Amino acid sequence: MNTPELGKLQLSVLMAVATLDDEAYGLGVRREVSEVRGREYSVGAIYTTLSRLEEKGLLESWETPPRPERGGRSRRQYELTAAGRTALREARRVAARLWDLEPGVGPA
Amino acid sequence: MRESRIAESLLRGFISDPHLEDAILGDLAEEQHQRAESSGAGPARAWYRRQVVRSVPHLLRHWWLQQTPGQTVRTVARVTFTLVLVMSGTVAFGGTSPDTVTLLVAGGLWAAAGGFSLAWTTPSGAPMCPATLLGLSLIPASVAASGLLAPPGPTTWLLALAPTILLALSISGGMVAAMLRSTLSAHNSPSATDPSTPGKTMKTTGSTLRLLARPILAAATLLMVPLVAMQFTAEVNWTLFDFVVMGTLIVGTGVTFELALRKGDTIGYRAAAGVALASAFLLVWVNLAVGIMGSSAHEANVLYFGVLAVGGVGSLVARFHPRGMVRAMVATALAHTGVGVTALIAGWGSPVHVVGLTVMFALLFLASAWLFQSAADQGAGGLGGRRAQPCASGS
Repeated sequence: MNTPELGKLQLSVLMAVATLDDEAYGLGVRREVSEVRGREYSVGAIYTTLSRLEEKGLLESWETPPRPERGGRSRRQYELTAAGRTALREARRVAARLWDLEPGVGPA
Repeated sequence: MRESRIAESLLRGFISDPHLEDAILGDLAEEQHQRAESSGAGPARAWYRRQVVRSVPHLLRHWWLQQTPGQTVRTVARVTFTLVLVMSGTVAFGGTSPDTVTLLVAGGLWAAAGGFSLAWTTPSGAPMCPATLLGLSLIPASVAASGLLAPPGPTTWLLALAPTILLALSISGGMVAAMLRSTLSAHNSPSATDPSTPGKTMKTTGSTLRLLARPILAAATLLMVPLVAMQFTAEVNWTLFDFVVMGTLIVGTGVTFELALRKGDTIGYRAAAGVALASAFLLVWVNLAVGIMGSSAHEANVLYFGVLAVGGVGSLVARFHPRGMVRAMVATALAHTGVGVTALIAGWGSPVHVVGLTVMFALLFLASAWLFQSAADQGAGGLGGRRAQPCASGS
């Protein structure tokens, strides 16, 4: 089965959703991705990426009831689909194979 | 704490997917609240605005990619048509002018009107996107046109700023339309959001028609006077442009007054709105007819449109609530006084005229503020509209 191509930000967002579980909504994902990648992302960048991943069938989302700490607005909660999990495994496999070549880039 | 309404409205105007609106605005509200508690309200508000500005390019790109081929063709056609209209309007009313400022003002007004009309007529979400697309397409168009239209003179450097000014004004025009749409839809929300109301579209359309009917009728009736007079005397000689400007002025004032009538539920509130609108109407009329500083051709008179912009933007930010309107009217009076003082220092126009008219209009705007204050004390307004609930432990 062909897994869709993922950009760097898409992969980071997908991994954040996989990691965060109950906190996998825009704000949590934005913080996680910003921390991992070392730069602050805008809420627009994160949601358009989440939306794109959902269109690719790698994520699914649903709306929570309105929450007072959000000014009465609801959250959009995200979860990996089976295709999303496969895409992540595939990305890890490809990365591991590339690192098996032991490129001389020095310590991380 | 409350989020910046202008920033929120701007961002909402770029969100094409209705499912994402609550998610995005809610995330920003939640994190702004957390940041306000840890580092203070000012930095939190600045963070919110930065997030809005940085999100816009992503949302614009997302909107563009989400469109079907048919929608893309329609959008390109609408934006191209508006672009041609803006450029031809600028050439028609500013292209023959000997000075750069007039050319730029004509282009700016057309760009703002173009942005407004695109945002106003966008059928579904993201009304700001076509207006921004117009602004972006005006950048190369204005660079090309300035080479053809630029009159030689010391203010040619202004033309270098033209692309930025036109982009900002077309976005501002779109922003005003988006906020007006938001205010109107909030006003219509009881019927529009009720799923048990099958005729909601008709109700909204009917409401909009009622909103426009009386102002258009008033404009048509009033414009008949110069039209008829022109048939009998050469003393009255209006051009098509004069009719368009005066018609727009009357309809704009009338629609705003209709909105005020719907928003206010006391005579005090309506009187306050009436005084404010009559003052604004008079200010534009005097400025266009004879000019407060010297003649109407004096470039500095353009500053008075900035005074009206202060009042207009202030009113939209206040959502026509009486207490907010007090601040908007005081700000308008201060802006007007500031322009008057600047004119006196710079020696623009006759000091007697400038002082007299500055005092008169400032007092009118302050009188309106006082009337709004009285209306607020009486608990006027009760202005509908969807408002975000305050944060649970909100400040």
